[in-house]
Amino acid sequence: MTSDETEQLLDLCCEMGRQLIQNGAEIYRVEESARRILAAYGHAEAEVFAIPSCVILNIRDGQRNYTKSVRIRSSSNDLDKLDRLNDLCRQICRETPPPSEAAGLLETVTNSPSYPACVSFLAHGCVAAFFTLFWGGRASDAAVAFLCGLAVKATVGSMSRLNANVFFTDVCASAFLAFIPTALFCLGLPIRPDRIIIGAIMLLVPGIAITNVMRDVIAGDFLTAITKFAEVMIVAMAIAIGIALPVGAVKALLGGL
Amino acid sequence: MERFLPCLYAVLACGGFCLIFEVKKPLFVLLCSLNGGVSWLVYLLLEGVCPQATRYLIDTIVVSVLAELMARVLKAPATIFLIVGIIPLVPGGGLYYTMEALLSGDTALFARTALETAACAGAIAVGVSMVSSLARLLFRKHLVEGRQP
Repeated sequence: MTSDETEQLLDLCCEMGRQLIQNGAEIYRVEESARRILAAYGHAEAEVFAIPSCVILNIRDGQRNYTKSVRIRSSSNDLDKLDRLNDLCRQICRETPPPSEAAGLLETVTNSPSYPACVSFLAHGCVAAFFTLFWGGRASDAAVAFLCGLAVKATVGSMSRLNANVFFTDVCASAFLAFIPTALFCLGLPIRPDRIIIGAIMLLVPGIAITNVMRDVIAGDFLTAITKFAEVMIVAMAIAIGIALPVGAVKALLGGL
Repeated sequence: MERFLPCLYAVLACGGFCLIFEVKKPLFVLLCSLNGGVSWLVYLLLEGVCPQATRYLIDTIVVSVLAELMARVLKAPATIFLIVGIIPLVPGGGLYYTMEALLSGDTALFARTALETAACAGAIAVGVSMVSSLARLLFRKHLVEGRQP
């Protein structure tokens, strides 16, 4: 293999790792995918190291070492891309196309369109509404929860455009979502704010992190598990603080919900 | 029948989550949503049979096994089905009531709800980890084979 091709292979594996992490894969899946691709191209001696914010790859080719690292900042959760990346990884291992061709395939997967914004807004609203019903709310509660869901999506969307951190984003989103039902309740509407708030915070609860933490522990990636666990705790705290703001204000002013 | 209505809501809410998490294949959306419904159905059926944390544990094991099976059959990562299926079990209510107890200054209630919430989250984590480790043990052979160039 020429050094050019080795470089391309390195780029391919790093990009694959980055995309997997950004779309909600467990760390062992990231490391294993990179290792398998490298093995398929005849680099069984490769070193792969990944944590949620970084991937480091090293290939030894004859006398030379090729190393590349990528820093990962943002993460979106796109389970469809995760599935397709997983398929692509199998395909690359099976067919071992030239690295440049494989990179093209990877690009078509990562550039595939996500749902339009209106679908996403609608989904947020419906999730909040159905979880409110789920937690024992009435139809009127569900209608308010739908609005809360839209508010969460709007807040998270605009905060991510401002590059705000996770903590501040979740504080703002949950304060906003709790403000709507408490305000309507204070205006005298016969709704149950607690059911609405519980239904809507399901949107912010870090489900992916909770699920992946233990899968990472089992695979022996304790460093990743600790990072993710910290994320879970910080998000839970942010949600609690955000909700406490409007609910606490009402408690102080009016003496209880 | 009224008692099982929440299962339907869980299915619909999980369907919404599929859209948020960009699950696109219709079959996957269906299976993820049904997994969410099953998780609440098992939870309801275990009512009064065993304590709260054990209920969460058994429930998570059932959902995880289903997710692993779906993953094997459809050749997709198990996390996709697991993430969406677990969501109805995530103690959002516990988080809210813990916060409310803290606000009202009721330390005893705060400690109790906080512990209960942590126990539920812990039970989910243990359930997921038990099934994942079993799955890894069972399918290790594939991994070793896969490493050969």
